[in-house]
Amino acid sequence: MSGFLEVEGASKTFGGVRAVDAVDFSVDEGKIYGVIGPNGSGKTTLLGLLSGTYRPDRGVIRLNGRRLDGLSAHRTVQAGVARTFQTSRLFYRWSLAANLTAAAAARPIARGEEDHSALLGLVGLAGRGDAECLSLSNAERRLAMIAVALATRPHLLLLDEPAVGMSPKETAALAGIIRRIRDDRGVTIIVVEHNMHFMMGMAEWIMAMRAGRKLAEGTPAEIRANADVVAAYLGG
Amino acid sequence: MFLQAVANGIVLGSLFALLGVGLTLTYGVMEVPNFAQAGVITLAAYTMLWLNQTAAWPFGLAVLGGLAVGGVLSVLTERLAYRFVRTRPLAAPVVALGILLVLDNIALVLFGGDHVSLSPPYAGDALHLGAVNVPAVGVALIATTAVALLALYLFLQRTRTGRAIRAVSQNAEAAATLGIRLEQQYVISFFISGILAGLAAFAYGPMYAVFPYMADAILLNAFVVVVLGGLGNVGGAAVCGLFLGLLESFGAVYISAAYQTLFGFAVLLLMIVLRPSGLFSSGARRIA
Amino acid sequence: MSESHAPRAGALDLAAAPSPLNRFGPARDYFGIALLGIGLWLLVVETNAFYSSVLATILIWTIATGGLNIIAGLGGYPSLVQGAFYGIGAYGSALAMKWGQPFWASCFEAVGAASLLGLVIGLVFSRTRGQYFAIGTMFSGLAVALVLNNWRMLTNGQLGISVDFGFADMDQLNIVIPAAAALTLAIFRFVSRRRLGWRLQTILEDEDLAEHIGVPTARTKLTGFVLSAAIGAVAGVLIGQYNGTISPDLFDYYVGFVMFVALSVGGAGRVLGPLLGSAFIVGIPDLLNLSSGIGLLIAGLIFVLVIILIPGGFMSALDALVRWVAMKAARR
Repeated sequence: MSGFLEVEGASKTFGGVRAVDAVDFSVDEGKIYGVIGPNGSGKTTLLGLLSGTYRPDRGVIRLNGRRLDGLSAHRTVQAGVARTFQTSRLFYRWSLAANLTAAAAARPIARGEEDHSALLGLVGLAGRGDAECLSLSNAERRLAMIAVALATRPHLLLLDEPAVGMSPKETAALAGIIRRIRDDRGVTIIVVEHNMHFMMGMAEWIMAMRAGRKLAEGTPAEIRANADVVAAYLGG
Repeated sequence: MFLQAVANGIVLGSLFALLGVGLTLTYGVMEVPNFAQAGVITLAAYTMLWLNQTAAWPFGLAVLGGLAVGGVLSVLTERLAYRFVRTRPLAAPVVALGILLVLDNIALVLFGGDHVSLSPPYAGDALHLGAVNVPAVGVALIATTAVALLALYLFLQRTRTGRAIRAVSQNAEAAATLGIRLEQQYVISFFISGILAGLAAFAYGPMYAVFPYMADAILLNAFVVVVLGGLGNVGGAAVCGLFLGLLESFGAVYISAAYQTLFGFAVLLLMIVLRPSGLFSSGARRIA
Repeated sequence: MSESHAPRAGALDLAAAPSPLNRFGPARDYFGIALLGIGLWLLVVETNAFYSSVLATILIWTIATGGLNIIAGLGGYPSLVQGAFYGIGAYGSALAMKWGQPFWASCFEAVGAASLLGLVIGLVFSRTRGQYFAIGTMFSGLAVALVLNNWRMLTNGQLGISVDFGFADMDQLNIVIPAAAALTLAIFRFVSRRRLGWRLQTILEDEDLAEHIGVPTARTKLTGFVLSAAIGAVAGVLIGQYNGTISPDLFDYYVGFVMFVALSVGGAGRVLGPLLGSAFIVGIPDLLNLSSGIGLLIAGLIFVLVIILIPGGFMSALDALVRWVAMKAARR
């Protein structure tokens, strides 16, 4: 296994429950990688391990050969990994532009001046820079979170259920935005999602999880045809 | 000497338990640190004093009067002030200090700054158990605390209102969806807390003097108790109150009286660093 | 920490809605602060002895609360222990001079000692937040006060100690105090717009999110806390110099509490907040002199009213006033 991101045997237990149980996978650079699974399958926890939100109990995580497991969240960001959250989190009392500035300069070595307008245009929020985040709609907040994550200049972007609360039209637009982000910035993207349809139309490679374990891995077509995956979603 | 320290510790611990439970009750319901409780204690004590000595009420009635004042005052602090800062934890210390200044200085203005003594009829007596000497006021304190805590326990466990308070303490949002009227629970909690403050005044007044700032220092100890027992945990506060009383008593006897409160602080320090949710809590409700 | 990476002035205005008073560039702000310093000096020197001493105390409190403004105002961490650093500044410098140190060395040593304690307390409570942090710092203040009170060998306990005068004359001290106050406000303004300042503000807004955009929260909080402590100690040095004697009463545990309240009432996170808050807290008891009881009672009422009605403190009320005036002017 020598991918851009390598995860070997990652495990995390919370209060006796194995949220993530010996998961292995790797992601190639520049790919859009999907993680699906029913509620409680460990998708968000897995993302948390990648982002430094949690420390794995066991296992190794490598980004470009550099070990990420055990790094705190802010060091993980500095290593080039950024994430969004299931519930929208922003510095709500500030403007969107202020949020982006905060994210861009949070790292000690900024890579050139961040151009807010390009970033906002990329996520479909052109011209909304001066808006106070409290006043943004739900979909705008989801997109704003992605912009903030991108402002930290990540190599790896982790999106946790980015389409939550979005209308079908907004969700379709989101798929396009994610692809554009990958094309424009060369960022590798991992998307955790519930919405199979959305995932199928966008991810290039998908891992299905159940009860903290990897259930199956493959192209969208393979996953859709996988009996175990279908059962997991229907059987619960 | 050891047994005397134990006896002193139980007396002190009862006071701490009484105060701690009163504080933690409002904490559990509203996440409000009620420093102003000290002021309520003070005014309750002065009320008892005035009723007993100036208005010549019998001591028992005067105490009841003081309790009533305590309850009402406490509710007023909630209705007129704390209610507005529930969502702003950083404003709470300011409100608390403000209320404390108001209450303490009402006492100062109305009654003057002299140290006066609240003397129950049994003031001079003491209980002798072998080598151990417990003043009657100390016995009264222990008895009061025991009765009060038992009554509170029954109230919280057996009555509908009590259960409602516990529900709100654990999860206010869920409780609201169950139809529990939050505002009502807050008022009741503060009222009970005020009664407990009045009881503390009744127990504490005779032991130490009555003066406008009488309760300010002791309330610090109550805070240690609240944190040790887990914010909002009534049983925890009761047990930790006793524990702290014993700890400080032994510390004062065997190590140094001057640094008595430092022992409480040392324990608090360990607690906050190692197990911020307290000794008895089952899980943090909300991270501060 | 170079200027080019820092946000442009105004991009990260302090606290909630952008204040009309925060729109000025650095030059105007610093000039304004300098003018203020000169004005305060004139007041100290020209008014009668009573008002002058009240003002001097207000300015010294401005330094202490101005320092506190960094960790509590910018970072939102309710430190109730500033009184202890204030006390260590006073006792530290007084004792160092008694032991033969020249004045300026004793200042550094006192500030150093306070910073060290700040480091220790900051580390101990590094994982606590909100109310727990408030309680923990309050008890730390209590511990320091207890030591100052009871370690008689060192501090002479309740009796206090006299402080050797370190300046050439009172005129010099009367310049240093307003200058130090102005400098504190300037330092706050400086820090608030630089990386440390807005890192602290991200922590105030949402600490976990801050961590996830790359802010080293633990290190940032510690830096802020130690800086606050150091500035608090400077205030302590000056009160020792001004009063000539110091006793533990000046640094009892509730002083830290009152300083936090002063800052909140004046306007936490604002440059002038400490000045307004200190003026109020120190001024009211001295000036509303019906009798200390009623004066303090009214003060207490005002605290409660202000913090309920004007959450951002006096500075926030000032903002509203400026906006109202500007609106009226625009209507003409």
